[in-house]
Amino acid sequence: MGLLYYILKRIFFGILVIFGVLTLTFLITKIIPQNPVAVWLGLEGMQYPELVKQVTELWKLDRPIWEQYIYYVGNVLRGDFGRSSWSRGPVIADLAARFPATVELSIFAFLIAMSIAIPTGILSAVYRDKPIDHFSRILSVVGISGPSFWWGIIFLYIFYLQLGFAGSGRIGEGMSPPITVTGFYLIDSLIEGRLDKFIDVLSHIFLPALTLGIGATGFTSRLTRSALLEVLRKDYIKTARMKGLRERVVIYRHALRNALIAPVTYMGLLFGSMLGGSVFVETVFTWRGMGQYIVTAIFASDYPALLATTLVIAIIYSVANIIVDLLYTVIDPRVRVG
Amino acid sequence: MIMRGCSRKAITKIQAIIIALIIVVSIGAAIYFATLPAPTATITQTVSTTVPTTSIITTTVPTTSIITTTVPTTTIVTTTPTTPPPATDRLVVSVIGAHWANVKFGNDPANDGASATYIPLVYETLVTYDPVALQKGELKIIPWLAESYTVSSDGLTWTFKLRKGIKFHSGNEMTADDVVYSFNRYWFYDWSKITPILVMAYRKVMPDNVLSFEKVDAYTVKVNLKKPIPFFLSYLSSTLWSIVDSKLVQSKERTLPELGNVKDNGYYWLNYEFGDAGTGPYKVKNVEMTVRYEFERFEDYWGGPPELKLSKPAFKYIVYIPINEDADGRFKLLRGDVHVVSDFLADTVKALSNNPDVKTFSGPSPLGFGLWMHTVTGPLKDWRVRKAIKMALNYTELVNVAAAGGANVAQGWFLPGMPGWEENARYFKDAQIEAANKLLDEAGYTVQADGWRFHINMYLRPEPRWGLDFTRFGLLVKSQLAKIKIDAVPVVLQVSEYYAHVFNAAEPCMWIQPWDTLMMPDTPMFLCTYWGTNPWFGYNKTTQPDIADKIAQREALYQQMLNAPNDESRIPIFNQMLKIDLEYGPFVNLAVATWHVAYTAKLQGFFWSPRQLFPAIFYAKFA
Repeated sequence: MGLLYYILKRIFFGILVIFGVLTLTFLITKIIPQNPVAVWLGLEGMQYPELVKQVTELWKLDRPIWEQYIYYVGNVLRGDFGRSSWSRGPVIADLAARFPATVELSIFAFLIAMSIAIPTGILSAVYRDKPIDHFSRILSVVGISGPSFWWGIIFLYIFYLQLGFAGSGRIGEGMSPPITVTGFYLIDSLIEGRLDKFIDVLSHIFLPALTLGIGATGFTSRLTRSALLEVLRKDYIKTARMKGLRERVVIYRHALRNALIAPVTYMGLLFGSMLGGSVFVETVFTWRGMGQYIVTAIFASDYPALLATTLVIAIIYSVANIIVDLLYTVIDPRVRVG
Repeated sequence: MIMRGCSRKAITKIQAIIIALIIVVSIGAAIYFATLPAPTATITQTVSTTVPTTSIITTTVPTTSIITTTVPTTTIVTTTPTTPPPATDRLVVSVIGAHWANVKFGNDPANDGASATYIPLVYETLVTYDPVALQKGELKIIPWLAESYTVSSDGLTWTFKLRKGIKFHSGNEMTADDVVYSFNRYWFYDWSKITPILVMAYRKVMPDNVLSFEKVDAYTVKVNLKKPIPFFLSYLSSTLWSIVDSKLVQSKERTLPELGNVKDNGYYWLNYEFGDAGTGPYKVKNVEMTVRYEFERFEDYWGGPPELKLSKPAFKYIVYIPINEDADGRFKLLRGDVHVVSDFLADTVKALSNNPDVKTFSGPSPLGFGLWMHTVTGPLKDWRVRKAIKMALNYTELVNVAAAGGANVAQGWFLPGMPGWEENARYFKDAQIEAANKLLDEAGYTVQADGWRFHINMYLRPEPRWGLDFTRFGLLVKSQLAKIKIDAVPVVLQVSEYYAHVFNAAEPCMWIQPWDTLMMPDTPMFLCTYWGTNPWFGYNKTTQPDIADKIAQREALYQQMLNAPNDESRIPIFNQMLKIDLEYGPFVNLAVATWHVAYTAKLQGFFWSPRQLFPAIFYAKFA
């Protein structure tokens, strides 16, 4: 009962946050002194007063602001984010084309980051000030301090040009993208029954995912290390050791679970931010995902697209937060009680 | 405890050694496998089938695909793992620059898409530039989809005889109906309600001399003009006048509620769904806009005028892949994944030029960067202020610093590829600060209490074009004009806002604008239309009474130029007009971009021309 109440409470607050973002972004676009009709029609179209009137009425821009808000929220709830003035198509279709690219990239970047960060974090805490700790420290500092666009080019040089791994883009130049069903190239290539495409797509994810992951690796690794060190000093760890438990059991069963709260919080938000799109990595690797879409939308004053992407990112963050909160209850039952 | 401590230390060392070993082994293995020679392709086809394979990719992994043939048997084709042999039927072309990511070029030749490099592959015009001449670096217009043409003695009626049996990609035959539809669609349809930005600027500045397009019979079309246009053939050679499949386009027409229920004339289908209604040597295969544009050879292509004896294009597929990063383009070219890369930075091409696997081409392009001014109100209304600005600029520095050497000085209208173009021709010397200051004092714009003569906005666009960056130019122009105490304030705006200011002639401002002749590389047409008509930015007798005589003189020259029989006689007249404009007018060109192209040395017969890929596809093939 306690757990269910906890979950429902988190979801309720998540929805509140999303509505808050929806309202704020809507208001901000109303404050900016630019006419969306002018963006849509362009200078040529603005010469026709009757056309301007028609579009203004169509989009209810002549109504009071609260009415516009209700109209907007109603449309959003129906999944209609309007039309992008840049692509001229429904924003939802643009998002459907871009979001899967970012999701594919993020999942692999996250996996790469975690598979490096958590083990190195644990090892460097357990073997504090030993070579492995120094090695992981260097790795972290390098990972954090190198800008991702720089890593991208360096990785392309080493892995693509010198070693022959797959380079930029979502699929090799010699292949056509799989027929779009879900937008996820990995899934679509399997649906098409083309294992060769699947492997090609998979190999193309590696470098951008590594670039995106490496920055996150350092921070997560250091966070895991410090949290674990903190816990290893606790009395109950000493007790566990005095009981004669094996070191492995002490670390993995007694220390790590208690130490993971902070890293899990960070990881959740990290995954959320990855799903929001990474402008630099997507630019270097010519990866047409959310990051590039947002930048284009900003340059084009494409409000429907901006509102929709902001909302999507807010939803991602809220969901990531809820998942993190739920994970707490698994990792540390005290959270449920508290 | 001591025991445990010991064992922990031992574990540390062992683990450290193991990790170090793993790292060393994996790096070694990676290097080893990467340097292995590519295994020879061993594709074993167990059964040969009569089914033409539509797959274009060489399988790299073990797959088992089942192909059903018309023969009632099922055949299984298996392939063994192998690196793909170099595809010789696929040309991959990359264009560097975020511009492709930011602008959705469609496939409508009468609109936004017209300047996209793939348009001449998909669409053709009645007359066009002779590929044989382009290969030699010459521009010569010949009949293309038209077999021949005649012009009446008064120059008012042009009659085009069309070639018979030319097929659109849809299979429909091209007839006079298609030509009349395409011309009407481009010329008379009111696009202003549909297209968002500046699209039709070119047509706006062309003299409104066309009366009507008329079908005489199934293969004859007549164009009636109000006044003769001596360079009418150049008009028609522009991609804007491409012939589209009228039946297909009409069937795709839709009504747009967001734009006041206007009929779109197939615009959405062509532009946003990348429809294909052309007759060209390549048809649209698979396009994910801003990501990848794949074209397939049109097997029913008529092959060009028989007398030219053009060979069939060697590439079954042409793929355009926009790339954001210069370094990435370089890597892809060196890996052989991409065969031609255009719009490189100057440094990259220089670095690549020593590589025996790569051929490079660097030459002046038909792409200009100009500084423009409004002349209706404010300080720029005074021609002396305009001239002072042009005199104060340091053109050599702009080319060397802002363009990093990737450009040439060109102050006038002539762009490379035009008859009349001279490399490094210039009217103003660099940085004539003293003379400029004197002129400004004379004009009454003295230095004010705040240390400036006046402040003025200078509009720029955020995205670089052709390897040149607006902001870099803008900042350097600002610092150069500060020397004559003019405060030019750089304002970076996205395209639609940028044009909103630029087209508002009443706003005192200047701006830096790219311009090109990609759509119309012909001098007379370009100069007469774009620069010839002169009410641009308020530069006319009404707003400039003090130089009314100069403007009148310019107008007289313009009329004289219109009636000149050929380029040779036209160019000197143009040069006289150019002098008046540079002295008094609202414009000076800052630079022309250098075109930096690199392509793989395996590509034989390839060349780069103002029409980019179009003529080269008839000659280029892999060695």
